Amino acid sequence: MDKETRPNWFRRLVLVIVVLASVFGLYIIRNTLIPLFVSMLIAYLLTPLTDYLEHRGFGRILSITITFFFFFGLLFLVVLYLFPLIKNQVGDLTAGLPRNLAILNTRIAQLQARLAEYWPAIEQVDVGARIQKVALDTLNALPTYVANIFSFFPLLILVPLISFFFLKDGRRIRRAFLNSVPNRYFEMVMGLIHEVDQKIGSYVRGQILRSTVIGFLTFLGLKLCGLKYSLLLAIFAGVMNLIPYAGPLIGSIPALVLAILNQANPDAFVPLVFPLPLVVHIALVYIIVQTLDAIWVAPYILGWSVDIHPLGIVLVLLFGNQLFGWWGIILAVPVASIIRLTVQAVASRYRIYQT
Amino acid sequence: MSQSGKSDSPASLKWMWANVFRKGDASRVSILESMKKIPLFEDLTQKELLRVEESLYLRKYRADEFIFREGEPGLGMYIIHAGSVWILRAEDAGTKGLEPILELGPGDFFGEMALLEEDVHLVSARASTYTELLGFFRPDFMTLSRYYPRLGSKLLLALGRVISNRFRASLAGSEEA
Repeated sequence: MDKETRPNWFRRLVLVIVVLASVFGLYIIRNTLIPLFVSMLIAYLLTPLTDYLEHRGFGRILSITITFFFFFGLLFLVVLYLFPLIKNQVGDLTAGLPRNLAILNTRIAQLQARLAEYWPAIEQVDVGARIQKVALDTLNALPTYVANIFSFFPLLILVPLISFFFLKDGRRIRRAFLNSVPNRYFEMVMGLIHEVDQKIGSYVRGQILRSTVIGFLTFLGLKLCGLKYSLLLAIFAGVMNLIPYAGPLIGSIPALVLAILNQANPDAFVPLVFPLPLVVHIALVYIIVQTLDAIWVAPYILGWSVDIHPLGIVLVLLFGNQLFGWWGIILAVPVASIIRLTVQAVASRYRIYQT
Repeated sequence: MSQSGKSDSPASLKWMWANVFRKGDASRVSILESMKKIPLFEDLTQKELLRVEESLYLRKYRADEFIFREGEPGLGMYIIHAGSVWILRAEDAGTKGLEPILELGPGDFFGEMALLEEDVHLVSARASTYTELLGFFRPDFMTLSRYYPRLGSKLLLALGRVISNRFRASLAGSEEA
């Protein structure tokens, strides 16, 4: 009853200050947030399996152990298989670089010569040298970049540990939180948590499924065209697809570059049957996959579209890059969608309960 | 909190119960005893009772505090563990006055229809004294039914029985009026 006497604007001000302070605090510790977020994500994904095992009679700790074994074992095998592959292919790429750049140079020179017939000014621009410089820089940065992604030694220990505790006590954490909510908001918060939980769950699962499907289709397409490193490219495309608008485009660039450099098996199915330049085939693969995605995969799996204004998406991507670099870009849109879902659910519930 | 009549000597059942659970013993035991009195849970085995108990939330209300109001979305049912609750309804549409329909005490429960479907409360509930309620909510009920189908069926049957009894009673009541 005391709280009712404080003026409304004061409470709003306090709320704003608290929110700003928490956001600022989160910003400061943002680097430590990544393992935390990844752990929560893993715990979230593994909870259904763990719950299933537990309800079948295995103890909680045993089910978590089994699930962990299964999940991290799988991850370990994947990394074990991929790592030498990636290393080899990066090695191949860097080794073949001088020759490939030379080829690229000649092609570009040819293109330039042809364009010069219509547009003399283009002779002045040494496009070849520019591109060469960019390519060299990127490829030089590549090993360090790959190493950065995999500087996961502390992560390797932290993430499983944190995930374990989230899995083990997640339910208890939720109960403790709910028990601390005042009566006036209790039913509202509880309904909210379940609603958001369901929505996030289906969204995350949907996105993962979609990335997998896209990756698989891309893999099929690339393999049929005989492009080397098809698995790698497919995985890259699948992951990049999480970014709207630019993602699919970015995902296709490495494959197109490789196609220009003609890194392919000459006796693959598609080029034999349809004698077009490899680049065209590869571009078609990506276009077909994207179309399938837009028409069938995304609507079926996701059920609703990411209806954030394109400008909003650009801003979100910029924030993601600023805060978390590459991972920020990839995760920006999903995280923003989750936040938006939550805010929408809170707002609509709050309105209902304001009678 | 109301204590049952059993003695607390080491040989008694209650003492054994209290020492089987390591945390919140006494309160958990008394919660289970409250639960056993509810027709909704009368067919459940001890193990099933424990499983349901894990999904219950113990909420405490001051005197005259509202538990829910008419028109709010319903999330589940409440069992009165201690204290008493007034069930109220708006006198006429539009007026702020609330007309008491009946008063419930320990062992009674209300709001069970919210377990079945998402709809608004038809009445308001307000604590008349300091009250402790056990909340059993729809999301937990659904999860429970999914993982333990037999338990879910038992609960659904009991729920159906309770609701049809209430319906019968209200029909009989309106016939007399």
